[in-house]
Amino acid sequence: MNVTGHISFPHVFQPTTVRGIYGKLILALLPVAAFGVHRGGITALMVVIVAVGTGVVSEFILDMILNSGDRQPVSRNGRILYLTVFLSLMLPFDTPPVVVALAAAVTVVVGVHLMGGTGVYYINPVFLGLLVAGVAGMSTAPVHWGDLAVPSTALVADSRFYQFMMDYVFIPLGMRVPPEAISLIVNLGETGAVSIGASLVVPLLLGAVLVLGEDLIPAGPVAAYAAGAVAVLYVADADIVDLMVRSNMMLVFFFGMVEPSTRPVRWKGMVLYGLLAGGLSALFLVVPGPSMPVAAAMVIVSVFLPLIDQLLDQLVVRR
Amino acid sequence: MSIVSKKSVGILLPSEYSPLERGYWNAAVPSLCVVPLQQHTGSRIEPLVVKGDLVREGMVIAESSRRLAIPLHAPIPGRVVDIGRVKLFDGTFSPALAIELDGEFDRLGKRADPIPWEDDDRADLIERIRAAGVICSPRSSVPAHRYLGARRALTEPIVVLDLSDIEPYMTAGLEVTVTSPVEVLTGLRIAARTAGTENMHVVIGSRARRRLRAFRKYADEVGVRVHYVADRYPGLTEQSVRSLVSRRVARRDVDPDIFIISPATAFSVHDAVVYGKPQIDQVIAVGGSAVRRPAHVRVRIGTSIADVLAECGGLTAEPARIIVGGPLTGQVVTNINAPVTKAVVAVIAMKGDEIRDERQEPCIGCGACVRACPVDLDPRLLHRYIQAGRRDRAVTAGLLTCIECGLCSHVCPSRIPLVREFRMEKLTRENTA
Repeated sequence: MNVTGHISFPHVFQPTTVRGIYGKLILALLPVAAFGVHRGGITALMVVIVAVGTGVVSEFILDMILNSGDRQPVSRNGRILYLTVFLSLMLPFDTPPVVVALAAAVTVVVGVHLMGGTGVYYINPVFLGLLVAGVAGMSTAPVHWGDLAVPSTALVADSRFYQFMMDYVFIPLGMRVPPEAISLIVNLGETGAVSIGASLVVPLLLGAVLVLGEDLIPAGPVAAYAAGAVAVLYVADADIVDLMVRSNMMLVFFFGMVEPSTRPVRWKGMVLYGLLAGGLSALFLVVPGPSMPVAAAMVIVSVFLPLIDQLLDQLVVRR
Repeated sequence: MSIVSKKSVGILLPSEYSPLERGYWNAAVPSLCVVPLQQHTGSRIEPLVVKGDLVREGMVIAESSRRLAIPLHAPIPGRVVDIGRVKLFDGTFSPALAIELDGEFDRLGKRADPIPWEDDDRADLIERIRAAGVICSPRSSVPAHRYLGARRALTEPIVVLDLSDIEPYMTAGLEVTVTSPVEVLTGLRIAARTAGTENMHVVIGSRARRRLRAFRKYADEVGVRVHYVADRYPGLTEQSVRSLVSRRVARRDVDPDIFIISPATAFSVHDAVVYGKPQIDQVIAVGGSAVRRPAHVRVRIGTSIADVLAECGGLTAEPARIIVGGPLTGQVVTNINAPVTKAVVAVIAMKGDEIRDERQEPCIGCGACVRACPVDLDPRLLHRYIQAGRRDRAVTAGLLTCIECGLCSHVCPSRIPLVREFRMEKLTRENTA
């Protein structure tokens, strides 16, 4: 029995821990990563490995350099793993390994540490890494980077996965499943300049089910993000479903805007942030210009995070 | 008349805590009672007996003529075997009397004839409550007669019976109300009369609604307004009670006195005035994952905490922590042989897996504390100011309005002891002021 007498209340805690938060987020990302690697093969696998490896090594080196004794290394609670897996899924298949490593290092060193340390930064470190990758990638790769995948139903129909599912699952069950539906799971379309995680709607939803609706990923801000995006796409007279399914907006839905450290803290702020982020992402998708439109939109909206928090604080105090 | 309202602040706590048996029983009378003299907030009292004296049950054994003193009564009949100091459960010391069981019980199993109180004036009621040594547990240790008699505003005060306590294991008040609804309601009426008002309200948590049907019926009969609030912790703050019960008055920009009492206090006030019974026992919730038979028991003041736990079958395993009070706001027991005082309404023995304590990590800025805070503070910001030594900024950001409910620390995934930080900071400010 503890008899120190100096233990302060509360004496019970909610089960959520930092490690638990990032553990869940990594688990939620795994289906997307698995199908992304399946789609892109060894190239995609290399992007994931290089990103994660560089991130962990960067953290380790920083820890050795900056270790002040009582500092808790970030990598131990799963944060670096989560950030770098997320980063790799946002990067295009054809990203050169050097650029991947640079993006991961910037994510950890600049995004996490130089911008104030854990919990103090506002811009999601992944998007900073992506910005650097975008600049470096444009100068090294001949293609224009974007976030849109182009599904190819012909490739899906010919794939071994589709044939296997038809022969052993769908036909025995009497189901007719068109290749278009399968393309949402294992998109076998273009794999060059699109994000590894783009358009993998079903794996994304599978993973998101683990965390959606909790305090970690509240439904309100996600719905606001969707509403903002739909509103802009509607006004722009774009094909809403097509753009939302083919882009990596869905990935950002769940994992970009809900990273616990880089979102507004109050519910109303989160909804406002979601609306702005969704609207701007959609705007950048329909207006040709920025490479990696969704990531660029997130970075821009992140700049307004302190303002949103401050505004909401003022409103609460006034009430 | 009843008013349904959802005014309640805080968060929904998970209903994962082991439930306690309903109702309560009288615990075995201990062979030795150690009665601390300082159980109330106020003037110090002196023993009226010496070592070797025989005392009767309910006899005054300590008193003082000072204004803020209340008498202390013998919880059991017997002989005073020692007068000295006792280490209380929180590690502090208090002067105390030790009484060894001997002689006959005056009250055990007997019910005295009720004393009429309806025609008594305020001064009489205040004196009868004072003479019984009733305190406002568990909200505070302030003597009930001082609390109810302290009228500041010129408008008619409001007396509120708080049945909305949603903190896990803090269910003794609810059990007393379910078991003795008429007595608790009479206690409320006496308290209102003592405060000089007929304006009475009861605030009930939604979860207890079904169990309090009989109480509600009596409340309607005597014209008490009943409010239902959502089951959130901490539920009602002083401010939310005020906005709940005094909306009409508030519109006229008048600020009435509001007296909030617990069912335990109402019950003690009833016994004190109607039966002339001093506060010598207390219904306590005994719970937690390490307790063999979680239940409610009525124990004599001065019974040791170890005896209280033994009354409920003892412990199933070595507890990681024993607490007096609720798991969110209670105090750690450092001496298991310490006596139960009038302010104790719950004893909890918890295993480690129920506590879920982890190593502290840096703040990740998730904002869970901000969303949980019932008074709309930004604990994250306060923490940063305090860590940076910018105390004035912390005060500007609302440090002094923190009600120390403990929710910010409870929900923090980094296990930062926020509420301890805030409390220490407030204490430092008080000491340096």
